[in-house]
Amino acid sequence: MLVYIARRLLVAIPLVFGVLTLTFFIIRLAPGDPAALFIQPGISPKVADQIREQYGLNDPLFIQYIKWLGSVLQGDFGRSFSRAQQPVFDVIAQALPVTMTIALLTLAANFILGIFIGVISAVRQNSYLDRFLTVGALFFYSMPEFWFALMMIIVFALKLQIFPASGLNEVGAESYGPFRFLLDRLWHLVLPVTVLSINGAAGIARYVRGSMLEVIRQDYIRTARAKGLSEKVVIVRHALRNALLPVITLMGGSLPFIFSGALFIEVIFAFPGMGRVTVEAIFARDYPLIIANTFISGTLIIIGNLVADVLYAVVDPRIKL
Amino acid sequence: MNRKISMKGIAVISAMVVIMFAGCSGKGGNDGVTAGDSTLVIAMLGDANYLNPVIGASVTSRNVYGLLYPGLLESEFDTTSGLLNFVALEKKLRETFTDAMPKKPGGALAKTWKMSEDHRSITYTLRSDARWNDGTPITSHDFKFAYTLYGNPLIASPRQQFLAELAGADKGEIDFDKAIETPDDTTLVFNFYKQVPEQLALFHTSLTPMPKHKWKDVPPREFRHSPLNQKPLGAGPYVLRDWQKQQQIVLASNPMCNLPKPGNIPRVMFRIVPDYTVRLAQLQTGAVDVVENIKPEDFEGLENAKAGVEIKSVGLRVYDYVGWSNIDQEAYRRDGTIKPHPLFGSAKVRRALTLAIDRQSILDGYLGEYGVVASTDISPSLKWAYNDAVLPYPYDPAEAVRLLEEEGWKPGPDGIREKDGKKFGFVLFTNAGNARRNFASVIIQQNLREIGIDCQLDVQESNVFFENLRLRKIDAWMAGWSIGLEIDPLDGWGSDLEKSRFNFTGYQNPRIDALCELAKAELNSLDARPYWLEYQEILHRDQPTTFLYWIKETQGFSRRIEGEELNILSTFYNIDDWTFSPSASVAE
Repeated sequence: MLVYIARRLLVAIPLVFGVLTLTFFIIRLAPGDPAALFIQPGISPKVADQIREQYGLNDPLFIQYIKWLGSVLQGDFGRSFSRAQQPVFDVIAQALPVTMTIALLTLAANFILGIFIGVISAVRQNSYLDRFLTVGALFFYSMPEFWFALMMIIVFALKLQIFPASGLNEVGAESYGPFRFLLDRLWHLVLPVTVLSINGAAGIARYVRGSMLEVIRQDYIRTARAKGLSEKVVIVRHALRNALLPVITLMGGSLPFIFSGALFIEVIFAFPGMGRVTVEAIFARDYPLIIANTFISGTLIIIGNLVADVLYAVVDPRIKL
Repeated sequence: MNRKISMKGIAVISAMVVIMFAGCSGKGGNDGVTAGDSTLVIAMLGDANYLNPVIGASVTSRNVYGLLYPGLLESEFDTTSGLLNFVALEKKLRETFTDAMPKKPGGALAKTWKMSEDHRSITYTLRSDARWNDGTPITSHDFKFAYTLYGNPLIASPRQQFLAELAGADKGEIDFDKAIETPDDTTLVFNFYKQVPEQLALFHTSLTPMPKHKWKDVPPREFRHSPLNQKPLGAGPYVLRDWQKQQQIVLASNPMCNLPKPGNIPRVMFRIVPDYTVRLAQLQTGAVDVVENIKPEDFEGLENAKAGVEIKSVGLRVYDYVGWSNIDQEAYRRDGTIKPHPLFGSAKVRRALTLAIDRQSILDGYLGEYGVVASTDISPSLKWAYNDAVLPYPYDPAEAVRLLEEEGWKPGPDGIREKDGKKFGFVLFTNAGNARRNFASVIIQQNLREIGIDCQLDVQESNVFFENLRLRKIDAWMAGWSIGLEIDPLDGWGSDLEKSRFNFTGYQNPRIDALCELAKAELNSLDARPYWLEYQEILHRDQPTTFLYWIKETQGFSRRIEGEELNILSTFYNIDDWTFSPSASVAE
């Protein structure tokens, strides 16, 4: 298995690299100018040019690429154009933990909710409960997330005022002490994580339900029941474990979706995470930051897929890598 | 074995989630009072890029560093004349007649100034009791040092334009030892290469100083990423307490400040909330105190909000317009040939287009009382230059039709006007994400359809839109301008199309060039009035663009704030004088 992982990682290197090169050229093809902020009345026309010179954009594209390649191979992705020339990895180091927190909480909530609903639907197949859950899941699955997010804010933050509408912490949270600070942080995460996970959970629930229905009809389930095991043991120990095998692969696969979902959640809830960094970098034509973001999210997705494949082998003894 | 591990993992995660929800419901019992009693919270669209006056470029940057740093002069806007006034401790450029003084005076570093007889130099006398927050006195050397930073091409300051009149600037290289003299710590002399009106001299020499002792060893190449940018040393009414990028900037009142005094409200927090709906919701719940640029459709909801919100408006600095290519952009792009645009090349046609657009309906439908139909690009707020006699064209489709017919545009078989086989049809471009312009563009499309003109609408991402505009790739568009308080429109109308970077229409009129130069050369701004009056008459007649309407900027304030004085200069003009009303902080 180690050989397999090593091989996959080796293959990933040229893949990531190709993606970065493509990104390098594609973003430069996009209309717009990183120095556009400085092209306005009252600002000397010289400024935009001086800024471009600072960014190294006055060189021919090919030279820019060679220079970029040289520094990237040394691990230097450069400095952000739009964020006060911070090294891009500093920007990302501030943003990534926020997104990772959201992503992990969402992933967990996704699967717990999804599996729970899916199992109930399968066990009570064609009951009113099943129908209700199925329709409910479809309802949330079809809802645009940004709209759902705004509705949640209007209901829970504006009308009921139970949850905060935005931000990572309350005003003045710095003086709270670590435990209350953490609670305050979690408190601010409830709405966004709920929005992100309800949608995903609905999909997973459908998946679990199908997989569960298939397993329940297997002979070994009948055997388990015949042995006189309680229904709970049959469902949880015998059926669910096997039904979850295909679901586990979903875990790695859902990572990119959660990441892209975090994108607008961060804008709406004003979290300084990767999603917002990426969106703002694109609007500002902040080339180094866009490339570094692509690098990070690309790598995470590749790792996510690898983890899913390895997990699959770990949980299912029939699969050998 | 493996299976057990995975089940255990799930159990751990679910336990985490349970804790999370339990923790939250525990906190839900709290009374919801925030630490806001002594903190003013301002919601901002975006973060500051630099809190450094030399390179800070965004509006947020300016708002924040303006509170951290001292100024050579204070500026005020005289609403009776519409002129910018400059104030030192013991001298004013001109007496103003506004009834209330909105800002506590005494913030200027200059005691007084003297313009030389020949208008080629200005000498300031500085106060001697001003200190940077580390106790070092603020001297004339700090100003000279700052100007070398502003002028350094490696630093690329967006304020280089302020140095355009300094000695040597005409030759491309400012000699700072000649241009700025510092005979002693409290005397500061600026020398110009030409005669400069006093108004402009004051405006251009009052850039923010920088503490020389802190910054002198920072190489220009590292200026933009120096760690000193994170810890600005200023002398203003507030000091930077905390700056979490993309989240918040926290300022605390500066007890050392004598320029003129520490800020009244102990803490000011700028919170970055990118989404407009969320900013609005937070203003309604009282989580933030100030939100700028409230859209008219939200006024009603805000005025009924529990937290008590007051809408204040100020203007007029911003207008929307429909730009028409006066010249054939394609021919110009190809080889620099200037010939009239096939559709919009004639002033008569452009006048017809303006007459056909029902600007009052757009205002009634969207901005209501927060908009004024525009006649030209001189704002009615700049009373000293505004021409009352130039009235905006009325909505008169019949007259528009008559003008079009005169120009030979006759209705075709499908109702669309034609001339020499060419249909009067075009695409009106605008930038994405502006609800007001979307609204206006639909009405314009309908208005033009009624007189037989086919106008298609296209919305582009802002970056793409402005690039296309700059590259002269679009023939008709809707956009807006925010004007400066010093009138300087040549960038937008100058006949030299290479030099006039914002003359997207390609409008050329030598008289406009001459009037702008004449006005600029007047040593007293008020003497330039006749030139500006004629300028407006010409623009009105030529209609290089259809000026739509001036927009009042509307800001929402929590009712617990007292003493806020909205000013055309800035929403936060006198923020250090604001207070919280005592009754409101006890409520809830």
